[in-house]
Amino acid sequence: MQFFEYYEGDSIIHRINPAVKLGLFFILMLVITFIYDPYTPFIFSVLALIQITVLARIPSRQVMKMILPLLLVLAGITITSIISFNTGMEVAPRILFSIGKIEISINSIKFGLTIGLRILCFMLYSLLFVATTDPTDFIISLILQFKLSPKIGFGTLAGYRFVPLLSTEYQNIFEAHRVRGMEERSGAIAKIKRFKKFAVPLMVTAARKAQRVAIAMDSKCFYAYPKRTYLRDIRIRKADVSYIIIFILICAIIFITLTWFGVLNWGYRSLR
Amino acid sequence: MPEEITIKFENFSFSYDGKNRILDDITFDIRKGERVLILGPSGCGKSTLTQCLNGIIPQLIDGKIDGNITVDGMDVLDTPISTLSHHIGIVFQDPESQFCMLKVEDEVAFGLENLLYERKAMKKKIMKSLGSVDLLDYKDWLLNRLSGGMMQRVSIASLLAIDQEIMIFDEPTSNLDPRGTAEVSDTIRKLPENKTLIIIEHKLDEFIDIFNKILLLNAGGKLIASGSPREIFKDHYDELQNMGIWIPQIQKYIYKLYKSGIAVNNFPINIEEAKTEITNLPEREKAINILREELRENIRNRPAAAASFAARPVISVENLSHKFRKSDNWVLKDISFSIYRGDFLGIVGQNGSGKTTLAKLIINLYEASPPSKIEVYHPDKKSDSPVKGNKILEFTGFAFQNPEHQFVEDTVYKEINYGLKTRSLDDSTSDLKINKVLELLELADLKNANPFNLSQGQKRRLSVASILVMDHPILILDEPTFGMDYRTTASLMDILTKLNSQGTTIIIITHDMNLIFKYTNKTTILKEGKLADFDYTHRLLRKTDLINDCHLSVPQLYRLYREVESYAVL
Repeated sequence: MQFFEYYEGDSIIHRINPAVKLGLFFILMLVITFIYDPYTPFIFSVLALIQITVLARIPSRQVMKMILPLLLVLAGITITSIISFNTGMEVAPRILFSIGKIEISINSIKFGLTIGLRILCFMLYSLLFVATTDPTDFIISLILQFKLSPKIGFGTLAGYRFVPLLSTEYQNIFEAHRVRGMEERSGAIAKIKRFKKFAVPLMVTAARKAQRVAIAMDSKCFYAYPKRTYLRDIRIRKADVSYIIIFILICAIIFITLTWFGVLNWGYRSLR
Repeated sequence: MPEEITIKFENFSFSYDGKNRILDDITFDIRKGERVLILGPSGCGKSTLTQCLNGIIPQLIDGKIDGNITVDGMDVLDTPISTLSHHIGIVFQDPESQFCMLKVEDEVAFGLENLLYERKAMKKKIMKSLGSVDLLDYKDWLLNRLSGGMMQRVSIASLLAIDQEIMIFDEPTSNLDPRGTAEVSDTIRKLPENKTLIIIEHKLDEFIDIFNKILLLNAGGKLIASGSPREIFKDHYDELQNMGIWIPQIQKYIYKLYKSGIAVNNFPINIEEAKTEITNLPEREKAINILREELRENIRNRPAAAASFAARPVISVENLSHKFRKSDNWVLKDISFSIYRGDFLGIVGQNGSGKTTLAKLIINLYEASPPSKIEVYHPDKKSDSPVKGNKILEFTGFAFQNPEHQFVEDTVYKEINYGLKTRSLDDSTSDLKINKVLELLELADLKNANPFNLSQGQKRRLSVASILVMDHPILILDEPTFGMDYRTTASLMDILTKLNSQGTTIIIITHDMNLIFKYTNKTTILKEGKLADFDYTHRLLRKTDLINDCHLSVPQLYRLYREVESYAVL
């Protein structure tokens, strides 16, 4: 399985200030959390997909590689939500069928699809953000636009470099222990025991690397002055403002249209 | 006119715990523009000394201090690191863990950003400093994709950008392959003359002509000598040798000439000087004879000692190819060679050429892609069918590159006992065995220590000890001498040679070509995953093109020999 990762490019979306993207997407997701119909998250998912493939020009194969494994999880969540929906709270439940004591109504299906599509929506906007945002730009825009402390910002970047290093390290330790005749027993207890043996060398390496980086940063005059300058010119530009306006406009149109047709429902109680 | 003094140590002592002094009453001066090598046995406080210089000790790491250090007139003990860092920069040993950014350009910019450079000036500085380490084309690369040598050059560039007048190099090449080492030493050689350089390094062959001053510390952290490389090698040779310091082959040879009464005028530092001196000697013939003797000692030219059971090999690799994932490139492609009982094989090649992967494939840690054929036979059994799967590890010892990865127990003794437990020996037999190995590898005093608390060299010896105790007929060691000083390296290699002469088949992976020529009888050279050569080691001496092509080197002594002999022929 492949995690969401930065896909280098120079599209319109790539050039939008990361703080702007983060802010807009975050607010949109917050709003979507209170909406209880499947249509709204569906429409916004489509909007995300358009931005990913058309505007950001990320090859659909790449998108599939990242999304497909998660769709399975999504299906699971949808089914669980359908089953767990409490038809007893409905005023006039329209039962479709029942499995044993569990009754499935139209609203159960609606609820399940809402939850499933909502999570799909979260996933797609996360993907849109991660795939189009250079990690360094992201951290620097957090420092500049969201006033994150440079200490935390640059520390995070240094740590981010270590993620692949540590996973290689884990692989090496695993092999080294196998060569020494580690029992390859499965089962939870054996796994925990093994993890304990791995954790020590892994943490020793991590701590040592962290200290070295800290010393290296200090000896390159980190915080020589309370202020600092930046090589990367990350500001809120005209393009960002236009993106904000267009994005909000499109969202507003979608909300108004859906409300007009009476399919947009706010809150869980709307499923009564 | 002598340059002004920039660094001054006055009766400086340091200890972590207030009792055992790591540095003991040290007094010396360094003048502006000097190139200083700090030399001493492992654990003598060389790194501690450099950490005291830029205030890391005592400001980040605590300890007890006596005496004074001043840098450009500032008292180091009272000046904050952020101020000192304007004057002193460090290049660290581990190329990977000294960066905090993801891309080359950002990393070089980091220091400039801290010093409030404007964007335009910053860009100019970045271009200039990347240019001076020949990395302009890699400006937009991710650091993770660079080779070790390139990473060290980025690190040098990022210091050049902030223009500190003192640069410290803490074993800058010890993690690098021969090519990376050459790159870095060339870069250091070309640094501007007004920079003061302080370098800690073990393997001096590539470096020795850079320095104009050596500070020699002993194991107790005392400064026992300071002077030009010529003076130090001439007047303190025995001390260097006793402390287990790597002495470059040329210096060793010249000293031998001294000992046998041949007066070489100006103690030569590099091959060119040595060549001139020797060709001008009245006792030239005698000197060249001694050179031949030295060569015989440093280049193994005898066949494997123990005969094979049959004509069948111990390890046979045929058309071996390997990739980790379907979509990846080939890590190894079409490798074929075989070795027999009693062979001592060296595997060499640049970092990333597939050496470690090859070794891991042999012990069946990975599965090779078809139609590869790898066969391992038990050297001491007559069976004609190869051993399969995990059974190979029952008679093959394998030491990993990083000794820490292999540690599974919490004391040195238990660590060595770990493998023996599967052998159902009685306690007294295994105790005897363990103590013998502890003795052999100079670990007896550390029996109850935690493996993770040992020094780098001790860890390496422990990982070797835990394998030696098993008496395996095949040993595979990945960088067995990494981080070890001359004495422990020599004693480990002597142990391996002795085992080898008794019939143990040994494979070592190393970057140290001197080791290859001195101890192995066959060598596999890998280049970008392909077999560049497999041959008797001593025959490589004549394959100059191949050696250059693969960025390897022949021993300096041999290079000197070729120089003086061709001159003699003319």
